[in-house]
Amino acid sequence: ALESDAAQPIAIDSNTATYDEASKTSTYTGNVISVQGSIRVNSDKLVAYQKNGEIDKLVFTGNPAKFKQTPSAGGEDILGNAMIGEYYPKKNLLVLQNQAVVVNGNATYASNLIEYDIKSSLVKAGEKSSDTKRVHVILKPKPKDKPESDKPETETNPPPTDKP
Amino acid sequence: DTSVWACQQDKDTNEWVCLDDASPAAIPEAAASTPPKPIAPLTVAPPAVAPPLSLPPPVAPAVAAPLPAPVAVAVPPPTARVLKVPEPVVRPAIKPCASDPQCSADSREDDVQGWHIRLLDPAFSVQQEQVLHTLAAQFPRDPWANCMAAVGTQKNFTPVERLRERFPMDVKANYSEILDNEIGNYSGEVEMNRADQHAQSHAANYDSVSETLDLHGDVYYSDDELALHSDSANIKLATDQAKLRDTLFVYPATPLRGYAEAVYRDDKSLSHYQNVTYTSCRPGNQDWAIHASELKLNKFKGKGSAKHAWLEFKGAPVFYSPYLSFPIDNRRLSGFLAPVFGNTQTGGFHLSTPYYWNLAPNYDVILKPKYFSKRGYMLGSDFRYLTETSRGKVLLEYMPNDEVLSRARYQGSIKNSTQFSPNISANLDLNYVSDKNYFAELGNALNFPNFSFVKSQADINYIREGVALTARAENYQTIDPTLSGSQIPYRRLPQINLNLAHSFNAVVPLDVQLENESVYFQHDSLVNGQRFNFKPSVSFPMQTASAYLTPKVSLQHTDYVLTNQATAGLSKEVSRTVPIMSADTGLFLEKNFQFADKTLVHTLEPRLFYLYIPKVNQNQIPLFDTSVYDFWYSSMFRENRFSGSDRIQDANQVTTALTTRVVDPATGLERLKLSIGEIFYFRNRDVTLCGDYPSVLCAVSPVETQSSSPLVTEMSSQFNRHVAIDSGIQWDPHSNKIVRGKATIHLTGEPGEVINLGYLYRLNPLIPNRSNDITQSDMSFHWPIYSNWSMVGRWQYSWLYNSTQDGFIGLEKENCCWRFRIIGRQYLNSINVINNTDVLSNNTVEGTATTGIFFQIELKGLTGVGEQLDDFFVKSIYGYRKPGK
Amino acid sequence: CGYHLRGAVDLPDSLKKVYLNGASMQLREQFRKVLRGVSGELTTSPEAAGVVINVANEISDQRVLSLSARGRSNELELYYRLQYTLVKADGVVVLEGLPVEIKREYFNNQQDIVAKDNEQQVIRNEMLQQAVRIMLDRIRLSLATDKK
Repeated sequence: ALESDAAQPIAIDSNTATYDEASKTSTYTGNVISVQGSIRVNSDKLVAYQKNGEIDKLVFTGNPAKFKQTPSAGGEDILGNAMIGEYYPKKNLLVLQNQAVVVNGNATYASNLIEYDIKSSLVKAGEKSSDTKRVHVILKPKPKDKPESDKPETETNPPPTDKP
Repeated sequence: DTSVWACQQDKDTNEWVCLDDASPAAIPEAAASTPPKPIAPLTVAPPAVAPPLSLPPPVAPAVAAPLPAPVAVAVPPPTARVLKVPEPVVRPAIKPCASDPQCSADSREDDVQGWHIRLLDPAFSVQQEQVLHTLAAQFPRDPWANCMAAVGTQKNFTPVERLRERFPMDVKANYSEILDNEIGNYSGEVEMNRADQHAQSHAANYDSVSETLDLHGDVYYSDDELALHSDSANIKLATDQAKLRDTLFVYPATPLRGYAEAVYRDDKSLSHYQNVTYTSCRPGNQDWAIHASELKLNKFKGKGSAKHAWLEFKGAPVFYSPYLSFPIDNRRLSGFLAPVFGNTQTGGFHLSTPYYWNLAPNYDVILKPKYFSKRGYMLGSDFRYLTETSRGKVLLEYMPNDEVLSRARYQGSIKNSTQFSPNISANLDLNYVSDKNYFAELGNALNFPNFSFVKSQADINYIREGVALTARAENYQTIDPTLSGSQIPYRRLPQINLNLAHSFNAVVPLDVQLENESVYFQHDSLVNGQRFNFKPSVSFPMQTASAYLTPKVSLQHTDYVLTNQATAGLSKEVSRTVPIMSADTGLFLEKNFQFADKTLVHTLEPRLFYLYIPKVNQNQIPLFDTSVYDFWYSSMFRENRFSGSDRIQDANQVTTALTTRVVDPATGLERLKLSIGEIFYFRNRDVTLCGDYPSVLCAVSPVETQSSSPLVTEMSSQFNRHVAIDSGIQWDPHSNKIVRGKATIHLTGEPGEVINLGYLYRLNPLIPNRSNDITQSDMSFHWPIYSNWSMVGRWQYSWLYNSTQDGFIGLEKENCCWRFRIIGRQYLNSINVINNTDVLSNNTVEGTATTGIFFQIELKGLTGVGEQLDDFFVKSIYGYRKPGK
Repeated sequence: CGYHLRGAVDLPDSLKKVYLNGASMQLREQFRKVLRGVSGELTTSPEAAGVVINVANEISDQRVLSLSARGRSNELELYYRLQYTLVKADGVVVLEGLPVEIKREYFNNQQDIVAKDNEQQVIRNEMLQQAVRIMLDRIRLSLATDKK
């Protein structure tokens, strides 16, 4: 992921916002849009938990809530949505639950639990011990006709034909 | 049989493509007149495990619609659609067989036949059978469905071109970890689908960069060409290499199934197996299995080879061979065909192991080494060829030393038909046998000869609209030891026919025909003769939809030049000119009527046929190719009661006949057809077969004085597709006796269920002690009796001689993996002649009954499919058709 | 009594031109003769024909019906089986493969084999003519029912 993201300030825009000093949590509801560098989250509700002055965890819910990030300069965006999402800026870790879907380049993951370690770009989905959170992964074939590079297409050359 | 054999050479690949006879696809324009049977039986072979590269599009419709392009989440309230993973239609997960009652029952299908004791433990355990059954169920069509169909006609399981590269890999699992979208580890009921490939295992890891796939734990893999189960599988998708441990496999094309301790796939078309056991029997049935230490399969050449292979049949080791090679697809590759053995009184125990040798796409040979316990060794060869213009067959059999007669014996036959151009064709059919008893003593129990002559002929024809020129030479070799001297037939060396015909559509339709013939009859002892025939004829075929009248006038002029006359003083040149006048007229009346909610058409077709031929003395003409026609309904409308042209009858007669039919117009089935006819004579028939040259036939054709012929009735009906009756009676009003009768009933059920009952009756008062009479019943059947065992038999019993003239009874078992037949036959073998005084009455020459037994066993997938018995059944049992045809 | 002369459902012109595909020389010859009787003809190419008859399989063989005291055949049954499909010019398959099966018995105790071979040839031709008439009849009947 973009190294710079974690250090960026987090901007949140919503219809209402309340702050609870005791629990050091602020709650935003109604069309909440939060942005941190290239990370952007749309949700119906967002709760931010602060720990010694910094945001430790963001919990967002939506029907579904949507998540977007540009992993590397010029790289293709990573998208995700789920009913509930937790984002840990420090650990650059995103946890999506309950109808969670993540689209990353030619791969799509769907499960009721997806842990996406953005820094190491490692996606963990489903649950080892039970079959309640089945994972469904679709890996689109890389177009064979371009031997020289396998990085995702940049805007310059025409998108692969199978775009709708 | 001479069914048309549709083969043609593909223009660009000049690959010979032989369409199966039954498929009515486009067939080349010039079908030769006597095409031989299709080239060799197709041999089948064990599996190619290689997971092939490219596959036909899966049953599923187009792949899941590509995902919506990722939409940047815009600051203003986004309208981005919700991301969802569309559910592509993929094959349901494999259910373990134990939990599915139907499957576990099937996989013990043949246990019910547990009556046989097994020396070895079963080749596959019950669990393995259940897994194999699950694997077999992976294919869209059960490979063992109609496995009885003739090999090579099943839908094949070959992949379409490279499709997998363009399909996404769809994976489901309990848990997955994927690094950089490239290395993915999955665990917990992993299901993977890509195009038609379907894999399932406990755990899997897939590296999409190096395209390697490792599967562990109860691994199921299947695609359209193959299905596998193993403990672990390592597959390099890019280079088609694979390693599998402890693998059960099903290869549907043959179909074959089996187990191998290790399977290695080297590249696209080469794979080899260690410690493999395979069979072509349906899962659950282990009638036979091949165990081999090593098996190599070359899909490109279509050839397989096994080392240290031994055959286990019904639980007993039967056959071992250090090396076996066999074809693995339906290309015609060399290989052993089913062994044939049997026993006859004259030849003793005989065994033949035919070997099919495919020399080239358009010619091949079957070598038939044969051993007779009483007579020694014989080598036969059956060479077939096909070229641009001709096709043919050369059959040779040679026995160096018959131990009984201590001399060589041989048989040769050449059949060729050539189509030089759409109009010009030539046929050759030469047969020769070294001695008269060759067939009787060296033939097997099937083709025991009940014929007395072996015909050889060669002809060349030029035929087009209106012109037919044929030149033919013909000779009969007599193989009936009781015939000699005048009973040996004439040779036609040569016979040339030129028939010209033209029709004019003047005010009245006019057909003009000119038939010319020049033929030389040669015989060693009898009179030889050169005959010139010249027969112009004119007819006026007037025809409407409901009536027709065809008057016809012809003049036949014949000249003879006779030589080698036994008695002096007979004229050497004879000529005869006879006018022939006939008129054929008839009406078509019909009426539709309702019968059991079906509209049927009932027709009434009266017909009159008048014939007038003046009497011409023909006593000085010998009989070369003439005898009396056998009298039946159709013979009443011929212009001559004698065949050939050495006698033209004198006639002034009218044939009155009525045919009535009930036809189902939808299906064209003739529910009923009844024909009644009688000839009324207005003069005696003085011309007979007697004359200056003595002939046995003279006694058969006295001057006829009756005023009318026997009343002939023929009735046939096709009640439905299962029951048909065919019968006919001739009643002679003058002697008030039935002189001829036939009645047959044919019952056909499902394919393979046939019963025919027949009765024949013939009375010929002209011949003493009724030797030419017939009172014979004929029963033949082929009927399944118990789990693909069927009984087959025929019994011809003569009530006149109170003896079985010919009969065989046998058992036949056919299922997916093997075919077994045993036939016992009793036939009359008239080798030992009692005394042959009166040539015509042949009952002084008693035939003595001899018996023969015939076996045939075929293991489908190991040896080729022998066809010997199928042809015999088709010839002996009306309505029997080869399986799959 | 309700019988009337067969309707003038003669072979319509389009059916008078027949293209015979895959037939043996003898069947072709007999087809030409019978068609000439109905003023029809065999065309040399499918395009010129109103109807195409694809002969899938033609079996012409014989079997022994009865044997004399010496065990030699004295009554033969000649059988002829023809499987065909009939396709009209517009590609409509008119008649699906109901095969034509004809069998005739004739006495042949192999005494005068040359004469009996002549007779067999005459019977074979009559059988082929009957097969052709059955085919034309079926065409006529199926057309008649089409017309209703």
